[in-house]
Formats: sequence, structure tokens, C-alpha cells
Amino acid sequence: MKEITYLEAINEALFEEMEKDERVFVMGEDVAVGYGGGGVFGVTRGLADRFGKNRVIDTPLSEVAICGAAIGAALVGLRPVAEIMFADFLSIIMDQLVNNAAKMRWTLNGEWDVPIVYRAAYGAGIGAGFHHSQSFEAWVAGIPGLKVVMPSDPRDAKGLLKTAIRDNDPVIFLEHKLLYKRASGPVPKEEYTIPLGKGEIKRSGSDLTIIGTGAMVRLALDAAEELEKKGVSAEVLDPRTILPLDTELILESVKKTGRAVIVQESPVFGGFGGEIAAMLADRAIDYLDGPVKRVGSLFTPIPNWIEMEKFYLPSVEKILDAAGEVIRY
Amino acid sequence: MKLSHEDHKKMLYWMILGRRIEEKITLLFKEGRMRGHHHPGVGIEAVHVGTCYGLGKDDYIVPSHRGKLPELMMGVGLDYLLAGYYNRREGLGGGRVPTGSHMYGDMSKHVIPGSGIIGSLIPVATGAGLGIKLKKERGVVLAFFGDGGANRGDFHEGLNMAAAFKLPVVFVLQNNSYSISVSLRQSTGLTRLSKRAEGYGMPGVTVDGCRVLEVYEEAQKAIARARSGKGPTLLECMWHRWTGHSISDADVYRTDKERAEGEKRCPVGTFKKECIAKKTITKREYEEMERRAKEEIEEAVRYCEKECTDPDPADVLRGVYSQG
Ligand SMILES: Cc1ncc(C[n+]2csc(CCOP(=O)(O)OP(=O)(O)O)c2C)c(N)n1
Ligand SMILES: [Mg+2]
Repeated sequence: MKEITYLEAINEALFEEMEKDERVFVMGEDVAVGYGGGGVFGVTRGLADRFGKNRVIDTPLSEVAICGAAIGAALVGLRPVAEIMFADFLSIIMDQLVNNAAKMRWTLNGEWDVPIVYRAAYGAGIGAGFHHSQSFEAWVAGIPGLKVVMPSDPRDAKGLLKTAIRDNDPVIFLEHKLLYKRASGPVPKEEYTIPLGKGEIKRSGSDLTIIGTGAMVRLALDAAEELEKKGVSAEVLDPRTILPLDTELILESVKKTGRAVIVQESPVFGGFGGEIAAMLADRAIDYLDGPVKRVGSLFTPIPNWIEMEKFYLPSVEKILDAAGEVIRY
Repeated sequence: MKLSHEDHKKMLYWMILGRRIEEKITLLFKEGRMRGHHHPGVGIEAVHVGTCYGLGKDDYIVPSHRGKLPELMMGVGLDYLLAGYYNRREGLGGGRVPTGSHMYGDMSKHVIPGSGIIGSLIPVATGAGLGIKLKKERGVVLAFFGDGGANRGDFHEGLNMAAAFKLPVVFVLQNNSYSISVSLRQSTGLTRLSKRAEGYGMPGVTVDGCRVLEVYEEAQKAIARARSGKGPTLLECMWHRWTGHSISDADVYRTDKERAEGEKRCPVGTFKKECIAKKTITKREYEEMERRAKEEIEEAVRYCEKECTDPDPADVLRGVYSQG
């Protein structure tokens, strides 16, 4: 094992997969030399030096063209990794994602691969304002043909990105910008991958299951620590990919604990937490000892002032409140 | 490529076939034998034959909703294409996709699936060009779309990126001066859409899309330019839509005069007359072509209606993802 950041983990995955397969190439805005060498956050740093500008392509400011061109390049046999600088811009490329990328394989009778990874930095917490902070995972998770990945730590980020690049379907790979440099953790020195659709228990417990992805996992773990002090044993479950969703792991955990709190960074209404809650109501009702609670952001635009953003976002306190309600039920 | 008499004959045959297919499909719809959407491509024959004639196996096309000749000329079989229209299991798309209107493709023939979202494939064509360039292959991509599609933002992003990267793409703008009922005059301040090319730093040419040899000549220049690494071209082909936008459009917004003017420029009739005048073909040979086209179409229709089968409704589940 070695200790690296979330950002370094993603960078390593890109390096290794580009080294391994010459069909893999990176395209996006400012990915080659921007901000001192590779992406506004530095995720693609060093790639252009190693692989040249033919495989690390700086594009015009044209999200639709980036997204659409990745589809064309994939159809003719390449494996593009397209960077959408901020996941907020998924709103711009929705047509290409939903109407073209997601449907190409099915339209071609399931006989043609569409291997694309769309990497995008999502999430709030750094006071970046509503055009550079949103969590749109639920939008794309409702589209048959797409896959949606939201890693919460360096090991998962690296292993999942490697799998996403080798996957033959379009994958939306959502990287939480708050985690890039703030999250570091152990990553195997040797080659490894993590399958899509397999969640992981990040902390085991017996009284309550807290489910979350991305930056919400850290909050869930902190809340679990607090609960421990009060004698409540909380399990933290990270589905890691929300499409496909590891429903079996969620069911297994909630049947064991009898209680569930789902934490998501988007507003509660219309989020993927509702999908999990519905699944539990459908398939685990006899095991539940209390209501399934969802913790999410407020139903407002994301505020810029950092104190207001804290008020807006899920927090350890909000998770503890929800957990308390479920336990006291 | 200098065209021989043989080439002219083949081109004329494609044009006749294209015209008769469109007429037949329209009839099948009217008779209630086919369902869904159909946008007749009557009048567009010269645009398609002029641009696609001579394409090779390295080349790709991105089709539009208008006309089926590009797909057929890339090697998609007529029976297979029509079976898709009939939503038959044996057809293009396995009976699952709206072959009749927009979205179908066959990558084994280098036909990228078309789209029901007009204009959205322009950036995809750019990407296919990018892929060809990165793989250092010699192919070119022909992207077909109309004057309506050219007003989408996707047109701007797709052409701009293709020009910036000098990609091997020919953007074939099939200009019939209408987007359903909205005229070109109402839609843009320009009269010649090929002028937009200058804004992207690529050549823009307007040709008479009703004269197949003129289209061919300009298409060949654009294709040669793309193949040699010099980048894309915007090729605007002016043609007249002989029908309503789709078979359900009553076409009340055009005048009889306008229609009559347009129909004077019949691409099939014009080329046929030229061929006969130049003695490329005899009248008898022409009639033989008509007979052959009819036979080919009738046989395909018979195959679809008599031999093909309905897909299993559960086929809908197949192929959403690579794993199952
Ligand atoms: C994005 C989008 N907008 C509108 C439509 C509805 N529609 C289908 S074809 C069409 C007109 C297209 O005109 P043009 O691109 O000039 O092609 P033409 O039909 O004239 O050949 C419209 C408005 C659509 N399918 N997609
Ligand atoms: Mg038009």
C-alpha cells in the first residue's frame, strides 16, 4: 500500500490505462497544459508530456462537441476519456449523453461497443457557487444505457476509473472536487480494478445503515463516530456506483440493521436517495424498525457564501438528527 | 476520379432506385401497410448520389432523416433496410428502432446511427473524423443534415472543432430552404449558408443539388481535401423537396408556383436526359433500369411482408449494456 490523494489516484489510473491501451485518449478543455500542466484541478497533469498532444487533446470551449466527438471517436474504434471540466455542464451535454451516447449500443442491436468515459468534477463545499458545484447524478442515473460512478476515496477512484475505461459502455465518472486534494488514503501498489455495481461497507455496524457516495461518505463516517459515542453502532455503506446500483448489498445491510439513513448531496426531492428508499420499502419493509430517512441539500440554488453553503449542504449534525429520529421511532 | 459511361449508368440507376423507393414507401404508408414516420426524399437523389458515389470501405457516413440512398450506397441491403421500416426482426435495428424516421445505423457498413434529434450528430461526425485522424487511417466522414439542422448550436460546435483540428469530414448541408414549414428566409439572415464556413475557417461551397455531376465534382474536391489532411469543407447542396415535410404534412405553406418551379429541376429527369443525349444510355436501357428498380423494390417488399417475422417484444431488453 501507498498513501496518495484522490487526485493522484485518478491521475495514476489515466496513466496506467493509457500506457496499457493505445486506443485510450484524453480530450477536454485545458487538459494538456492548463493550470501548470493538466486540467484546472491538475488531474491530467503529466499525461501530455508522456503521451503527446495526439492523445491528450485540448479542445475548444465546446462541451457539446467534446461530448459528441467522444461518441464518434468511440464508434470508429477508440476509447475516449472526455473531461467535462465541471459536472454542472452536464446540463449542456444532456442531449448528446441521453439521445446519442446512451442509445447507440441498443440502436446497433447490442452489437457495437461505445466505450467512453465522461469525467466531470462535481460537488459543493468550496464556495464555488451554483454553476460550479452541483450534483446532477440523479439526472443521468435515470437513463438506460449510461453508467454512473461516484467514488469516495483514492482507492475506489483509481480502481473504478480503470474499470470504467475498460468498460464498453458510456460511463459518467463523477469526481468530487472537494476530495481531490483533501482526501488521501491507502492504494495498492500493484495493479487492481474495482467492478462497477459493487458497493462497499466502509465501516461495519449493527444498529443503523448510513448510505452515501462521494463526499457524503466522509460525513457519514464522522456521524458514525459520533453515534458510537452514544452507543449506537452505525454501518456506512458506499454504493460507489449508482448505476448500476448494488441493491443486494444495501438490502443485506439494512435487513441486518433494520434502519436506514440515505445521504445525498443533491436536494432531497428527485434524488437517487428516493430510489433507494423506494427499493427498501418494496423489498425490506418487514425488516425496518423505523422510517427510511433521507438527508440532502436544501431545495434552493447552491449559495456562494461559505457559511450559507454549510447551512445548505448535508452535515454531520443533519445526519445525526435523522439517525436519532429513526432510532427513537 | 474521372467518371466513365459505366459510372454514369450506375449513378443514374442509384437515382432511379432512390426515387422509386421513396414513392413506394409513401404508397405503403397510404395503404396502411407501413407505420411510423416517413420523410420522403423525393428530389434529393442528386445530392446523395453525387456525394456518396465512389466512397470506399474506409469511409463513414452520418445519415439524415431525408432519403435512404447514402445508407444503400454504403452497402446496406434494400431488403434489410426496408425490413427495419417494417419493424421486422430480420431488419436493420431488429425491429426496435425508428428506421423509418431517423435513428438506425449499421457500423459494419460504416453507417453511424442517425438521430431523431435533428443536428445532434454533427459533433458525432466530427468525432468520427477525429478518430480516423488519430488512428492515421485514410477514411473520410460525410455528415448529412438539412438547412434546419444547420441552425442548431451543434452545427457551430461541430464545424468549429472539425476546422480547428483539420479533421477529415465533409459537412453536406442539404438545403431545401425549409425546416418543415419555416422557410430559410424566416430562419436566418443569410441567403447562402455555405458562407458560414468562412466563420469557421473552412471552405464553403454551394452547388446545384439537382445536378448530380456538379455535386459529384465539388464533393470529390472536398473529399480529396479531407483525405489529404487539409480539413473539412461545408458543401451546401440546393435541392427542392417534392413533398410535404413528412407524409403527414399537408404542405399548405408553399405555393403551387413554388412547387412547379422546384419540380422543373428534377434531378433524375435531368440526368436521364443528359445520359440519353450523350448516348451514355439508350431509351431502352433507361426503361430497363426502371424495370430493374421496380423489381428490386417489389422483391424487398415481398420479403418484408411475407418472409420476415415480428420481433419478440422481450427483445427490447437486449443490448442496453455490453454485459447482458
Ligand atoms: C432538435 C429537433 N428539433 C425539431 C425536430 C422536429 N423536426 C424534425 S425534421 C425538422 C425539420 C428539419 O429541417 P431540415 O434540417 O432543413 O431538413 P429537411 O427536413 O428540410 O430535409 C424538424 C423541425 C427534431 N426532430 N429535432
Ligand atoms: Mg430543410
